[in-house]
Amino acid sequence: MAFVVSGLTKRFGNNIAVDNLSFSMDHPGIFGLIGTNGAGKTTTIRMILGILPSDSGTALWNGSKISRESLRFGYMPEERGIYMKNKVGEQLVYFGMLRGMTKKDAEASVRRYLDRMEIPQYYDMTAEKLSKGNQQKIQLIATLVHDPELIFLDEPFSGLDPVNADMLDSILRELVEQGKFIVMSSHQMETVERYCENLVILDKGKTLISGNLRDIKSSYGHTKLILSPDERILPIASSLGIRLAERNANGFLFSISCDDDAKKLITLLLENGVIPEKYEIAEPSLSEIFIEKVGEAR
Amino acid sequence: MKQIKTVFIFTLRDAVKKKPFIISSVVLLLIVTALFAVGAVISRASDSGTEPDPGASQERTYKAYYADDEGVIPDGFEMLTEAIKDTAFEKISAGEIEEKKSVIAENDKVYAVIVTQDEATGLPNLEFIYKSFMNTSGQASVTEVLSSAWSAGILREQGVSEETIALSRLTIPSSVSSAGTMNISGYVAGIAVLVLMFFAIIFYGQTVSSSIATEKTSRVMETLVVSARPRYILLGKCLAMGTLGLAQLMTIVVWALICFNVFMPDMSDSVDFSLNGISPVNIILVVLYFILGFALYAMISSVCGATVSKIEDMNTAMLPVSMISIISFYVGYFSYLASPDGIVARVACYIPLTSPFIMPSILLNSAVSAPTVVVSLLLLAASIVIVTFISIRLYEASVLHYGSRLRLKDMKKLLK
Repeated sequence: MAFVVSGLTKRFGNNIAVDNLSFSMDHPGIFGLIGTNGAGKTTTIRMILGILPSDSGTALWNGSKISRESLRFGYMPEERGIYMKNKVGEQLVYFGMLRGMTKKDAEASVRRYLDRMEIPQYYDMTAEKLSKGNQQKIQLIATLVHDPELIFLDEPFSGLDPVNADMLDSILRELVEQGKFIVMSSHQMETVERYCENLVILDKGKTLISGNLRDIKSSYGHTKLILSPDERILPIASSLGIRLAERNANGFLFSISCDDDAKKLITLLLENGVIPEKYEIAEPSLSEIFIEKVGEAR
Repeated sequence: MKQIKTVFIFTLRDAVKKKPFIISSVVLLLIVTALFAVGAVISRASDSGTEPDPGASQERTYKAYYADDEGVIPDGFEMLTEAIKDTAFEKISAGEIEEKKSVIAENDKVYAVIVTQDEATGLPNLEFIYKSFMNTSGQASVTEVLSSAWSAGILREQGVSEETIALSRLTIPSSVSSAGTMNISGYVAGIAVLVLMFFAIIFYGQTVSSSIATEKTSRVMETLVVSARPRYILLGKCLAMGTLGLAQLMTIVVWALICFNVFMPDMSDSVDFSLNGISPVNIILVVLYFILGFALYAMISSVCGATVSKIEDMNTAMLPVSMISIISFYVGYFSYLASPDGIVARVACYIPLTSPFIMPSILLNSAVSAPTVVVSLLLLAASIVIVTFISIRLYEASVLHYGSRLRLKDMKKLLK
């Protein structure tokens, strides 16, 4: 199975919302679609799902154009939308039936997911009586009720407490194990780093970075040196021209341009009798790469 | 088709369970019941308060002073007492009238009749004294009885037999019928149907737009459009609300007929409800006009619902549709009121926006030819096809639009 987006473009008047976007997934997993507000993420998803016509480009699933009829897909929008005045079970069965399920199958699926989310007692309760976190779970069930093969999740973790975030974490892993293709859009870079093997970063419709997250980070090399918080380190680092980027209770974070900077500093520290309890050379975080790339683009 | 059915069933079940529908249904049925109950009470009150039935055997609820000092009408007093059973007549002299006026001024069920004679012609003259000119109960029946007594007296003087005199006093039974296709009951029923159609079509059309706007503003639409084609959602929704409207309308009409028979049994027996147009075919046509009229206005309204991002903007968005529907209704209403056979009414039968309002009323009176009905229905159906096509395109393009309300020029762009 393969999901391929190629040259997707959308213009609204003179404004290019999405410009020649391409990416692909050739095996089950979670793909990161990252961008600032207005970067074109939602427009991209709508074009892929066929609910918004693209000006050019294609979105193919196993070589065929994606449509409601050709593929079971699920979409959890960033702005949650469920019928507040309707009973949870009733509306979830409705969403399942709209996606081609029989009433019996939809009911069984809804009950299974409510059990999995540990909220079976809400089947006959109106959605407005639920907490935001539980409403989010209902929205997730509406996305998954018909067992979609391709799933789009827009900010799936926002509004979830740590316990429910942990539950979603395990559900996502189960979905991947079941062979689902998931495209996740998020502002939380830590979340994307944790789940996404591949990603694309968008800014104002343009693709800033696209590819494997490991490769992207590797291409930057080691840019951070983390040392234990010992005040004697600071003048020695300063003498080598190594800049302190951040200091907190866990240690000092220095910006380095290459591994050589780190070697020089540790050598000099040892020569001066300073033995740091913590010494770590690290790649830049996705958040840092994102901020840098967006900054460069502007 | 399956998705239309799914949306239809969900929307219908949802709408039936919603408080606004339950409350509006109960309130409408109560209003209908109250209207008939009040009508029956007023009818009975006016029956007992207007013309006393000369021949009825009942309690004497009225009192009348009768003064005929010169005996101008022989047997006048006796005939009044005999003929008008609900009135107690008391013979007085004309000189006592001033004294009795104070009693009459206090009670609207007391009056006086003074018989005098015209000196020039010798003919009798009746003067009635009531508390107020607003209530002159008994005047007509007293005049009729005394006129009859006067005529009988003359005939008797001329030697005419009592049998002939009795025959001459016979009131010939009469009735009114129409040479054309219209009658009063059909005319009134036509107006009632016209008004009912207007409210039903507009109310349920607005329900569709409101439902769409609610789904859009609550963002449910985002979940819906990835599940089903927007056109199927729109069609399923319109079908459901149309069915609901028709069912509610039928319930009200049936309930009104039941109330009419329960509260006004005498009237239901006596009133000539010979609507010339009430035939199975015409009932089907009336229902068809409701369905098509609703479809036309629901499709236009749906676009209004899809153009707003905030539910507060709904009224503003609906303003053009409200204006069009009100103007169409008044064109239909006044042209029917003025003359159902008039040129304006005839033209209104062919205009798709006005025909759903005026045609059912005209059909109920059979004042329309078959070709007119066919052409009118074809024009209406054609306009629905065009409006549906445009509405679906606008709906599909605007349901995921958020931000400022879409205006006409924005919608023109969306259609391109």
